[in-house]
Amino acid sequence: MLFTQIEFGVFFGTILLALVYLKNNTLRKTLILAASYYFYSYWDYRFLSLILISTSVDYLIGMKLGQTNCLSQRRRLLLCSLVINLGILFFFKYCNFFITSFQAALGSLNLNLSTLNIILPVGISFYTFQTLSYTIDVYNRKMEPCTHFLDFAVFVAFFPQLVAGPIVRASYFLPQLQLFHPFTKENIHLGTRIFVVGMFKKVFVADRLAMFVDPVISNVNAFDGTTVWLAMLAYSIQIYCDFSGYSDMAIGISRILGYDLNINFDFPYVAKSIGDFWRRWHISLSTWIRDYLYIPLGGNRLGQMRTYVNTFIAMSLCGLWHGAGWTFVFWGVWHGLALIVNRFWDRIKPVPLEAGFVSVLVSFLSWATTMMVVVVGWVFFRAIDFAHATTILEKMFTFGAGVSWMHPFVLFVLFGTFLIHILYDFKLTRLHLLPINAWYTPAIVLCFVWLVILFYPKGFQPFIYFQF
Amino acid sequence: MKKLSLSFLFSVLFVWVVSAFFLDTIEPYEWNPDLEKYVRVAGSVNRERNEGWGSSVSGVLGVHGIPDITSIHSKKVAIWGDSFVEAIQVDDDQKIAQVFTKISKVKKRDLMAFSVGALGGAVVDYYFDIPKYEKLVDAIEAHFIVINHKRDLLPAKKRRGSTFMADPEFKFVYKESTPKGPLVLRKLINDLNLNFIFALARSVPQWSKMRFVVGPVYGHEKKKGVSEKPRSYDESEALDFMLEKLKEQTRRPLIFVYVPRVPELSNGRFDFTDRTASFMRDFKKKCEEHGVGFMSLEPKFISFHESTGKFHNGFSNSIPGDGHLNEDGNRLVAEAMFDYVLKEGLD
Repeated sequence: MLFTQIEFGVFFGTILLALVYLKNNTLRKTLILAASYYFYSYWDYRFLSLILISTSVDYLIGMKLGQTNCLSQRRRLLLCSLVINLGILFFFKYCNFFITSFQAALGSLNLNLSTLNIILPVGISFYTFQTLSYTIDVYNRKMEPCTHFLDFAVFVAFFPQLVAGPIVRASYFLPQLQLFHPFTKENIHLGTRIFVVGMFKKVFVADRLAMFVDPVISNVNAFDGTTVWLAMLAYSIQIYCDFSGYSDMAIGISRILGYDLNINFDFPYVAKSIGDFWRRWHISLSTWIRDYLYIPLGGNRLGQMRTYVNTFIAMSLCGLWHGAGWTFVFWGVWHGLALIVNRFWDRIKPVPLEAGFVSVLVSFLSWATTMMVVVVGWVFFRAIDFAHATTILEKMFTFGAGVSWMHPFVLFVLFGTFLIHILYDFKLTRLHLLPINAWYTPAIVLCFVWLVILFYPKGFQPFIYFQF
Repeated sequence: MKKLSLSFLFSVLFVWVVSAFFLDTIEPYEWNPDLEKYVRVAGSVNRERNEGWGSSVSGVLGVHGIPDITSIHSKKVAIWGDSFVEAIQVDDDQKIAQVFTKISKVKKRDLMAFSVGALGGAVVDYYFDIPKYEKLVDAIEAHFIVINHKRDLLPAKKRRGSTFMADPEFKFVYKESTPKGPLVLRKLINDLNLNFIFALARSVPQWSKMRFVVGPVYGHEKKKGVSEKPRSYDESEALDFMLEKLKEQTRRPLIFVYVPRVPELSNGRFDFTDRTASFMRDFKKKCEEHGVGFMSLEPKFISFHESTGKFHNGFSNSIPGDGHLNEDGNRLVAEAMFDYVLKEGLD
């Protein structure tokens, strides 16, 4: 069930109506859990068993971790959680990838390994990371184990963010479940506003950009370099609006229900360095990787070279998390290398310039370089294989000949996005956030709703990040 | 509450303005007893925004861009066709008929053109329409019939309008095509630019397809049953029948204008291979046998692309080389028709 489907409107309306009459927090959480399980089963009820396994295993391991101080036992328990959770993720997401990769690597040995007929369960990467973070936090004694199975089950399966994030930390979300959250006018206003803005990003911007991006990127040889550039810039906005749109909708729905989810995107395309980009893009994932992978590897505490190696490993795995394909791994490697160069530059760069023209120029060049790295990275993210990525890059950087296609809506969106980012850079955040008390906020929100209805795409338009 | 009501009013005003510029209009129709069919209301404006960016004003008898074709007595050619001739994607002055008339004026020929195009039109429709239009519009010197697919010419399953039947024998069956929805409402929506209401209503069928049972959802294979296909027939015989019947309807020259659906964008290239070419070659021979004109735009389209790098179809807001004729495509077809008139005459 997609947030943009009318079925979701009926489903969520029914849940809201029921919650209005439920004054008991346990009953409310039970209803939210049942709704979450239904929400997931709507796609495929069989894979609900995986969520139940993850939930039960991590709940029990968390309880056991709370009961023992024996280090070796605690390690075994953590290892058990890691093996089960990552084992499920590996089997469903990466099994075929590694089979085909081994087959390609050992091709000369005539090994005939057949791939398995496996369906990738929706959202498996997201809830696996979520449950893992809980076990690791309990193991590291950063939080107390959850003693209420219902709370833990809701934390794992909370429907607004179950299938595509944001990845919520147990330490942030579980305490919220202990409190009764009555409906408040402020939460409903704020939640609705965030939800509508997210829906607008997804339906009006991302889905319509896809109508331009898909034919160009699928037939890249037919178009000229300028069109391919335009398509890649459009894809950069499409993937941002698609994913941040989903996150916004998830955050908005949660807020209406009275729960707070952390912000997941913060204008990533204003970043002036690749490090800054990752502090703004998919924040819940980048902080997860920092806290549960980069820092345990040693982070920046073991010298310069080791910091670079840790960055490289963390970002490569980040790429692999996104998709079972070497282009995704390379995308991660690309960002890892860019972060290493970024860190190295930070060490050797001259002292900051005083405000003035040169400073503005340097700032602009930093932004342009960052965007170039990001857009080139998206080429690997979007391409079906390396040959395809190479063709796209060749077209872009040689301005190859072909048919020119300057889609007016795409140009309009590019200009609009540029303008909004400039406004953001000038700290005109009031306009972005559509403050509750502003006279224009409800009018603009309603206009967004109209535009979504009028320009609703024909056919099924899944969220890009559902595949991860 | 007051703030919310005002906001709603503002948003309706906003969407009304936006839809007036950026949404396709819904066309109003009225019954014409002389033509025995529904035609576009004279004076109504149709805006196409989804593909191309065109405005079309309807005249009497549903003719685009000419207020009253019945009051013009100069010599004229009629252009028949489907949505390619309707050409709502471009403004009236860029449509085939208007460009033909412009060329004719420049060349100082006393000849104009008017077009009768409707979405999904086929030869069976023109068969019934030609005598009626000849009765109402004087001095029609020739009929150009624009085709782009073999289905425009051959028997088909039941259509919403008239049908070329093959079972049990070849037959043209007349039936008027009724526009969807109440006519009064269509006119009101068009007059007041309330196209957003139509767009809203259009989403209603999606609501009726709602699913609430849990997944997975499997695709169902179509049940095997009685075939709805018309009886297998000989295409050559069907074409002979169609051409003979068509010739019975008029004494004026008939010329088929083949506008191939090329190029096709696939595997990273624009492919000009016409998959209907062999059928059309055979059809051309049939036309010659029956004394009917035939011209193909294929070489003209290819040379236009080779010399300019542009396509005859597709728009900046749709995939290049795909869909309906653009401004260049309409012009190329009009030029080809005029050249045909110069070369072959209209006798």
